[in-house]
Amino acid sequence: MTRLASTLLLGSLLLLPSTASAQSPVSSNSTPSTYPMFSPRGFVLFSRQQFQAEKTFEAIFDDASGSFRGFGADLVLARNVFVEIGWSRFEKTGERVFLFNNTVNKLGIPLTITLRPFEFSGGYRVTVWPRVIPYGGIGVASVRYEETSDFAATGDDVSVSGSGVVFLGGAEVRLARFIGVSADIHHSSLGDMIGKGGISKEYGEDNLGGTAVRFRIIIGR
Amino acid sequence: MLASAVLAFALVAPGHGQSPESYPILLQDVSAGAVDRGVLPGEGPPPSKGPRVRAERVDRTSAYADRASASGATYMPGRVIVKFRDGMSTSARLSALSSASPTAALTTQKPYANFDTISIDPNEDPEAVARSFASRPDVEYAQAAYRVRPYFVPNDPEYRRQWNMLNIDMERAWDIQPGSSSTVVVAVIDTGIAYQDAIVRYNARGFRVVFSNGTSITYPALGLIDVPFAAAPDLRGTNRFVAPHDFIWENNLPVDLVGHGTHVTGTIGQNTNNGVGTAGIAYNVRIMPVKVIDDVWDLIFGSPNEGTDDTVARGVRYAADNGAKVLNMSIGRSGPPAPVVEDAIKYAVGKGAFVAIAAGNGFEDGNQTEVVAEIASRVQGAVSVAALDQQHTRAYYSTTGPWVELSAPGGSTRVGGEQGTVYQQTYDLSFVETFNLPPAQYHAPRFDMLQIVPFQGTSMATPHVSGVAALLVQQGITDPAAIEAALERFASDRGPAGKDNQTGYGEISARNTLRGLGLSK
Repeated sequence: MTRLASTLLLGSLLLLPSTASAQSPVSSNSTPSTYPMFSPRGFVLFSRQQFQAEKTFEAIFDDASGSFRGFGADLVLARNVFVEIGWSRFEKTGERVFLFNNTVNKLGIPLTITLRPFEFSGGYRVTVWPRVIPYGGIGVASVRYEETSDFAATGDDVSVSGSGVVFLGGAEVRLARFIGVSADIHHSSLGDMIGKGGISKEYGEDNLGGTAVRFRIIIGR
Repeated sequence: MLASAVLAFALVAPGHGQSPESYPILLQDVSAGAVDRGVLPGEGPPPSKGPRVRAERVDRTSAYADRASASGATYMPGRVIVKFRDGMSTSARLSALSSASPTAALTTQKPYANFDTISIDPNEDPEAVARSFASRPDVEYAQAAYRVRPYFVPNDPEYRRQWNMLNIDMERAWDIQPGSSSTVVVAVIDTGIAYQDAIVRYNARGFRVVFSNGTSITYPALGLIDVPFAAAPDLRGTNRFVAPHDFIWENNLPVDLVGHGTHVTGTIGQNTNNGVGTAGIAYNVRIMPVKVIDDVWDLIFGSPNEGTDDTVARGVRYAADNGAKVLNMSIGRSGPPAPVVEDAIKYAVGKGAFVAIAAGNGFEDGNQTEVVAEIASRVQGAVSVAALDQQHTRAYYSTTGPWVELSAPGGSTRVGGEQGTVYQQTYDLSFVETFNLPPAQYHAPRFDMLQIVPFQGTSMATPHVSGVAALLVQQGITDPAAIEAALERFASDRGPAGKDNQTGYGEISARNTLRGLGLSK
């Protein structure tokens, strides 16, 4: 993951001169002279994710999707390139189960999982239109996964970390000079983090990632 | 398996299988009550202990009584545990104390402690003080002094003899599901149960004991005798027994005339944590006594029916029709197939009842196929149960075969001696088996003298499975096939790796079965 992150950062920096120079002809609303070379911004995010381990989450939570909340910062370089870091969190309580004949039997024992992804991504923004800025990117995610349940003894609970890749694409809408909102599709793949035990093993599902719709409120230019 | 009290000889008595005439007569449904004779003679009963909720020092004021935090954890007030980083000076520690709490004071570090115990005012919130300490860079960790308690361990004084409960991880299972509830009915298809105080008038006919060498002894008729019965003290309870029925005597008084069914019932549902006797697995369930097996006294008293396939089949159907969710069948036989029993078992499973059947005790007697147990292997929702000893290995007597599906503690005198068997309350057999005495000393039995008695057998193993099945039903797993699958899925593999003819899928693991699966573990 570290190597990939470094590569992305380096790639972003290498892109900087060319995109900056390519930027000059585009002078729709914000002229290059008024848009800073480095524009740091902060954001809060809300996302709704459909987990790849669909059957597993459905069995435990009766729902294969979940909501994340988080925050982060991005840096827009010469208007078109961005790098972004973000933290988010998902927590949900379901029940321990037993699977028989493809029927999930609930056991009434609360089970809570927590996902804490930390993501670093970068990409390109298309600044053709004045207020709507489509963008796409790729990145890496490091995720802390915790699973706790009632009546757990030593070694029963789970706390592991893993990493994977993320892809994202969407559009940002500028509402005001320093405020924008964005919506994007965010896909993460976090293989081999589950599937070695529990109901995920029964279903043969090992990926903790998924596809999410993300909404961000962005403060900054 | 039901062990006959007379192994080396056969009984011949007139009247067995004939009309019961007008006997037995229930003279009264109360009696002088049970005489609890503790454990086996020679063992010596332990000092009696009353129920104990909590031990508390008498000089401790209420300010220091345990308190519960918002998280539900219980802690001792007036105390915080702090681990300062190595090399921190005493003055720095004192400074940390004063910043965390104005009342904090360092106490002398105790032996085997690499941390400090800080005393604070008992009215202060130790969790808040701990958080204050923990936020300091010179503190490794800090926490309140939370109370640590053992897993649920019944206070029944004879529980210490019940290695069988530990072997299936019962204590941690009780934490999850404490004893099921009265909504779950377990039928004990057996010799009856000591469930009722009563005095019953029987006509005890003469009989003859024929030995294998051809000689015989004749015992005189005792005529009309009034026989006292008592409900086992550690089984009885308000509405504890439901829909009792006796298919040997064709009445609703399935009293146990041998003690087998009572012992089996104890493992399933003995009253537990009541400061008396032993513990049972599903100690809150309701018990349905269904008598389908006769023994010597039934014969002497002239019961109209015997414990045959048809009687057993009727008992199974009766239990299913009357709401039992779990059927315990610590019974069996070898020989030709028993389609009538198989049909009944399928009927019961079809009605939503899980059935546990003893795999047989005949390993050293030719290891013949156990007919009733073998049925279980063909019915998803019924299981055959082998017996294990204290060391989790197959008990020497436990019949083997491909029909064996699960195993549970049945005890073995060859591993651990008498202490290696299964203890439960049943009759003091010296008051029951008077037919083993010489004719001159032969006298009427009593069924109101109860005792903690060690038995071994797949009969003793089977109720462990029934008990855990009842807990599973309470957890919400009600499909008999799912119950079987869960018990097998979470069993601890014993004997040869994988499913084998000795222990089936392995020894039941109560805790793992009740806990099921998490998302990733």
